[in-house]
Amino acid sequence: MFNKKIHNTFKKWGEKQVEFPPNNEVLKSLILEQVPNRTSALVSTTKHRQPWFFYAFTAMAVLTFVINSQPSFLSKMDLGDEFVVAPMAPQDASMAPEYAYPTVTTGSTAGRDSVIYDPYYPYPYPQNPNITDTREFSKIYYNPTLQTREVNDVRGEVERVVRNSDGRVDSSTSGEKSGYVSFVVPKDRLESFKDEIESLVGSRFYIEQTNTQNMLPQKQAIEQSLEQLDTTLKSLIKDRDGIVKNHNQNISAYNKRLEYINSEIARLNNEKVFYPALEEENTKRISALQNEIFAIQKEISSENHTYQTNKNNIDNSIKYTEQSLDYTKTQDKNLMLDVETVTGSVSIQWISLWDYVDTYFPGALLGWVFMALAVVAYFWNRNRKDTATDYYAELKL
Amino acid sequence: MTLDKNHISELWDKITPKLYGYLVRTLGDKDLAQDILQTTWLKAMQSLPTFGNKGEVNFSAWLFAIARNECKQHWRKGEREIPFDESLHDRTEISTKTQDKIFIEQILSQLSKNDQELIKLRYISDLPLNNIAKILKINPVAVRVRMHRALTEAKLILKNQYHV
Repeated sequence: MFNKKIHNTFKKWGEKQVEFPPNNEVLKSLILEQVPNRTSALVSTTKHRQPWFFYAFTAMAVLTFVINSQPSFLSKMDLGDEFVVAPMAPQDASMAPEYAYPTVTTGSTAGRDSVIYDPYYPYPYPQNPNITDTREFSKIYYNPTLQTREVNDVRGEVERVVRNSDGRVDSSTSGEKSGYVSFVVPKDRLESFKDEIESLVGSRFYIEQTNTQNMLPQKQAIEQSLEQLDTTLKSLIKDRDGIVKNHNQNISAYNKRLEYINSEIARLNNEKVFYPALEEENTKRISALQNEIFAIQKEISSENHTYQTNKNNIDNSIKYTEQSLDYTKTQDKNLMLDVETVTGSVSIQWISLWDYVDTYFPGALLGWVFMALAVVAYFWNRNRKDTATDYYAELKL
Repeated sequence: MTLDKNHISELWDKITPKLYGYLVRTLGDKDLAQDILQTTWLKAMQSLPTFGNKGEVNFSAWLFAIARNECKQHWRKGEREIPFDESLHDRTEISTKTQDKIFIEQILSQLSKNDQELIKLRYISDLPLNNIAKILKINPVAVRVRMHRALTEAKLILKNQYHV
């Protein structure tokens, strides 16, 4: 209330101060003479500044959005690169590549399923695998890619996770911008292993790639091979037995013959002969029998040689077949072990800050940046215009 | 719409008494106030094309800004000493009105220079606070706060010294 009173007091005082100068009319006329003819010249003196930066940034933003909306060849190439799988080294020298066999690749991202061709084929490939066999023998290859800004730290963490999952680190490399850890883990630990690997960097920076290879044809091939080798071995053993039996029979016959001849010679030597002609005949007979003994001994020698040769051959075949059988059984065991484990490699890629931000704002990030710059440029230009037309600032007082 | 001679003539009649009053109270010299008034208007006419027509209130504030700046320039030249003006200090015909005038001026003299300036601009020019803020080149909120403080200070002086 008192403020109101003093306000009114000052107001009255202010009104009393108002007065015209003594020579008002002279001054007024003098000033009016100075009035310019066209004060609308303001329009021409105030430059209308074009927001060139705004136009440029807007154009670049639109261009970026248009480019990003078109599936380009380069982007296809990038997508394709994710499915290039490093060739799996054969686990055994016998698993040499013979045929290309398709394997199914599944990625964590929708629409990324594709078929790749593994250039290695570890087992003989059956021409007509039995389709009624419904057993599952799937070998899983797990090849995730992790994106991080701390490559070395993440590589160490991956190795720790592999070992904690009862797995084995086969090889490990790391640099400033990339790292690589190849591993083997038990199949029953795969899910928890995957979760732990993903948790190292978070789902946004984790690209999963799982390849599954059907090993049933290999299993069938091994089973066929085992069956065939078993049959061959039995046949060889049977043949060997026949050879031995025949040999023994032949030797026995030869021995009987020799026994007979020797008894005949003994009889002829013991026989009392009264006629010279008969004695001469016995002598001839004994000589003939002795010649026969020599002939039989030759035959026995020949028989023994043939027998030994045949027996050695068949023994070698049996030995080779048994070795093949053992080898194939080892292959079978390796196959089962292979199926029960998951092989793979973790690729660790360094990610730039730009890519980092792009992960959270996917799409045309550059376009949004240009858009933001365009908005800033617009307001900057408008502010500049306002400043330029600020008559208080323009006064050169 | 442009400012022609008729408009300027109307503005002169409306603004000049306030501006002259302000200059007289600021400079304390009627002749000097008249000179500054003339200079102010001449400069305004020269800069009129850049100002255009932004309304009477803005034009009035603009003129006060020019006038204030001219006063500063005058003081900067070393002509700060205010000559004795008989008409301002003539005590031979002291009436009730004159007594009131002296009474207010005594209160004003006890306020700071800034507060005096603010009160002169507010009550002689009769400009809105936003325009005063532009003249003084400060924030309108600051003008409002300073005005409130100046009035409170004046109230205290009135209460303590004159027991009103």
